[in-house]
Amino acid sequence: MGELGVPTGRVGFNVAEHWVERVVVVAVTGDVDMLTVPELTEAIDAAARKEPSALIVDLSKVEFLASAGINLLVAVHREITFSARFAVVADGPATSRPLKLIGIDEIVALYSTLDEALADFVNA
Amino acid sequence: MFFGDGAAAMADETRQLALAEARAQMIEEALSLSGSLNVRRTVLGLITLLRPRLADWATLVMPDSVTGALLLFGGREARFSTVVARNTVAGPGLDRVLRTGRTELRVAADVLSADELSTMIPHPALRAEAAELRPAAVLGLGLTARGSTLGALVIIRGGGRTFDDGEIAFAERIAGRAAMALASARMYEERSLIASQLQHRLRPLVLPDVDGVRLAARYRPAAEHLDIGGDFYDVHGSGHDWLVSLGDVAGKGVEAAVLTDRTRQSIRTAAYFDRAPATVLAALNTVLHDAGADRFVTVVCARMHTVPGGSHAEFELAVAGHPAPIILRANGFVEQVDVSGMAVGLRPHVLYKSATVLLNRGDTMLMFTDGVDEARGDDGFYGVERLTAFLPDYAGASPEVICEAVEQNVVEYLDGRSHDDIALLAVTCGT
Repeated sequence: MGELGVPTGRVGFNVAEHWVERVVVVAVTGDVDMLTVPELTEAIDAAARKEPSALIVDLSKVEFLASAGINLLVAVHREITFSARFAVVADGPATSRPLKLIGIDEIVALYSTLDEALADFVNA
Repeated sequence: MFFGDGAAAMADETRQLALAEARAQMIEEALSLSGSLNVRRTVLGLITLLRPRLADWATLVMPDSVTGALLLFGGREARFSTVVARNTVAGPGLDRVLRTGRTELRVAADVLSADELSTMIPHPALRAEAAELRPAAVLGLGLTARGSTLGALVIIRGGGRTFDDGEIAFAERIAGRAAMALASARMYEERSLIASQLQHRLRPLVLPDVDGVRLAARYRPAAEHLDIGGDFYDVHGSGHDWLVSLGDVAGKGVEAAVLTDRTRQSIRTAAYFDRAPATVLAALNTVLHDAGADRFVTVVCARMHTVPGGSHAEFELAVAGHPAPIILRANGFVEQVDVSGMAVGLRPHVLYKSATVLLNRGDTMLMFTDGVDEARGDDGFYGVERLTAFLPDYAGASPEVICEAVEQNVVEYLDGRSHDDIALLAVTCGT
């Protein structure tokens, strides 16, 4: 948040992509909200274009997940299902609570740690 | 003579240079008209810009996009404006400029040529002003932006002066830039109007009077999008059988507002056939999923059976991806209703569960959107826990007081930070 009460979502926001064999992990740090969703969308699209066998969005280090971010996960789920598997890693009240409240865990594989997700996806 | 010719040529060159500079300056000013995003201010800016540098008199004509009537601005008084019927202009002149966007030049030499003025100026007072400038040249310019002519500019030079080809071409350039500014301003104003009309539809201004309970609601839109948010609430029914709903559409702007409106209408339509909340949500889910909405909607729905006098009221509740309502008992006991369900629009068919809650006199059911529990302050999220800890002090209070106190408490917790839309709806049993 900025001094004038304006959300400054980009501060401390970061997206990193790394690969474990054919599985791509998009790891997010900071707030996922209306301000940062465009950047995250771009990062996920870029990762998906490289034709991974699975795409994991790791929200372990996310402190706030707004509905815009949840919508993005739903959109990714809808678009990627035909070409790759998709999972979300989320733990804690800021991320897994809203995801479960909205029911995303019923349509997307939700893990509480990245290791668990990778164990299921690498060489799967 | 050689010497004199040279001086004349130099003087001419200086004049040309000064003219080019003056024109560049005017183009610059015409470009800056785009900054206003307000039609009236843009028009005023344009008329001020044109006089006296390009013309002695200027008026702007713009058909109203809803009524088709002609809005006239300017004339001798830059701030003058009036409305005339579209059929006051016909045939050549202004009508043709408005239809084709093409420039028309008329020269009104004397009293006999009043017709020349009337084809270009569709208002008697403005025509009289123009007549005083005779012998005059009247130039009608189309205001065309992105291929459509949204109005015309009529400018006049008096005292026998006219517009040469270079001046006409320059006037057309100014008109082109002004048209872009006007188009932006008009689009912005129309969008704001659409937004406020949509917003107006999304919330009932007055909650109905329901025998046996008292109702109150609060809505506080997020500061960064004052126009429209995605939160809504609705209360409808009759007699002692009512449906109360409150929800949140992800995202902002007109698209979200349209989905919000559709959600509310779908709830009403579904409830017309079966008021059971689980059935209403299942129907809403299928409708929104089939419509291919690219965002989900969260809703809490409660069917309320009241009794005359309000000794008690029975609530049947279902939620779709939304925090369950909180019950504040008259003795201060607070509990969140134990019911959950998937957000609407994610899957083609979803079955919703419902819970039943009985309210006695003085008990309150509070529905809220995530602008409350996800408000962020120094200690992280406001959270449902903070809300349930705060409420006991308000046991037995009126629903208005409870809504106001919660809103105030959240706002204080935010301590100036921005927040999402906050919607609250409280039902207190008893009259």
